Amino acid sequence: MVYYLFFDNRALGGSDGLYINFKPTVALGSLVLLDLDNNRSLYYLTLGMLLLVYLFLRRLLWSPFGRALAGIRVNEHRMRAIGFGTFGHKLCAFTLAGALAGLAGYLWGAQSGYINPELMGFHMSAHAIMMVILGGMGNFAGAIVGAFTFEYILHVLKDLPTVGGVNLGKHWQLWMGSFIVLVVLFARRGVLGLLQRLTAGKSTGTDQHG
Amino acid sequence: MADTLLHAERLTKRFGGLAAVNEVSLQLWRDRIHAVIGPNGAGKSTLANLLSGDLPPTSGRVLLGGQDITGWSPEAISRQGLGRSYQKTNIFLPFTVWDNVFLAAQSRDPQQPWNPLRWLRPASASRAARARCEAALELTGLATRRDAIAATTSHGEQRQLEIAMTLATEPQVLLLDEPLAGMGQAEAEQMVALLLRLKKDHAILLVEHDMDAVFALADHLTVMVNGQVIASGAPAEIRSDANVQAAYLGEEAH
Repeated sequence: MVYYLFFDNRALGGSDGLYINFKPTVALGSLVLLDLDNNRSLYYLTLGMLLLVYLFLRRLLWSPFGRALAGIRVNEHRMRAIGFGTFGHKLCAFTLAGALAGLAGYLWGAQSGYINPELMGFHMSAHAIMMVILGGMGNFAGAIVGAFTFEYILHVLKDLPTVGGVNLGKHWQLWMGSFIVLVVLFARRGVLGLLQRLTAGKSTGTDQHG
Repeated sequence: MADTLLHAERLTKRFGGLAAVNEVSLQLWRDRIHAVIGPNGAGKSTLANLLSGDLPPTSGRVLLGGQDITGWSPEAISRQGLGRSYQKTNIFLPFTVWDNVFLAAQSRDPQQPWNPLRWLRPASASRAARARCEAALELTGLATRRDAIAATTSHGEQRQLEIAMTLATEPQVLLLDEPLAGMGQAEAEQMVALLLRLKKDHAILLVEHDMDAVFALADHLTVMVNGQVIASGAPAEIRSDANVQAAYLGEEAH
């Protein structure tokens, strides 16, 4: 729905999208503190944001608000019976998620210098969900690991060679889809779960020897 | 009476043409256990749902500590001082016993969304909530089981946990829906002892099937059949009431 709102909106560039023509910088007078046209600054800013958001969410998870959300996920009915206004908690959670997505959108815009309605379409949402599934659901680190894994695999698949007249790289979505299906079937807790299982297997192995 | 904590007046709930609860009135006092009995489908649980706000009444009103709470949400009624336990165990199965009760205890901390500490400080930092949680576990005899995952505890322990969560919200009125359901003899005796202890500080409404327990505990009995109150009075009166024997107690003997 939001997609169509922006698709037909002249002010925001309609279906052609919008170029961001000014440099995203932080300057104090003539002293430039942060210049996001510089790839290195953008990289460190993004890394910093990732760390900050990760730490913030970790704190939030164990805060009274985070505990209440966990309770709502398990048993909303009982949460109301013991006195929690669950609507407000859920509204807060969605607002927070929206704000963090906005931050991600800002960084995306600063990186590419170009935005269009496609970014709000199904593909982008699907990518985000695939990242989470790949990394391991119900876990912040899983989402981060998933994002890196997804982007890495994307690059590998897009660079696949042409074999016998068929350009394998052009059909990367097919390989990506198959890969996700395999992950869901054989590693339900994602790449992170797989890594944990491998390291756990190793440590119990040495325990037996010792 | 001055100490009426809960007053229901002509409460009615209709589902289509069926009156599941029809013009039921009752009063609860501190230090008294009021039991509601009746055959299956008599409307006992619907009555409990009307009092706790899980269902809005079609007509009638409910006063809790003098405040009209008719049509309030369950969370608002809980905050006003009514604690409810459920017939079908309604707990947080994947959490530990402690976390179950702590969530309930935490709900009574002042809500300060503008205070950043509420978002960044661990929930367990609240001393008041910890104290409420410990007191509730102590009372219900679950103190030694605090680290057990709720799903792995026995049925009796889950029923105790149900009560502990309710107590952690420090209610004045307790609404207990079949706390003895599915319990063995020893567990039931423990629960009866617990209810007698709780009676001192609470007004208790007990919805119960177990007749031995009801007659051992209740100071006042209300008998419901088909959504209607057919008798109300002291246990001895109810026992000898001809209507009740015909409609309910006699039925059990068959």
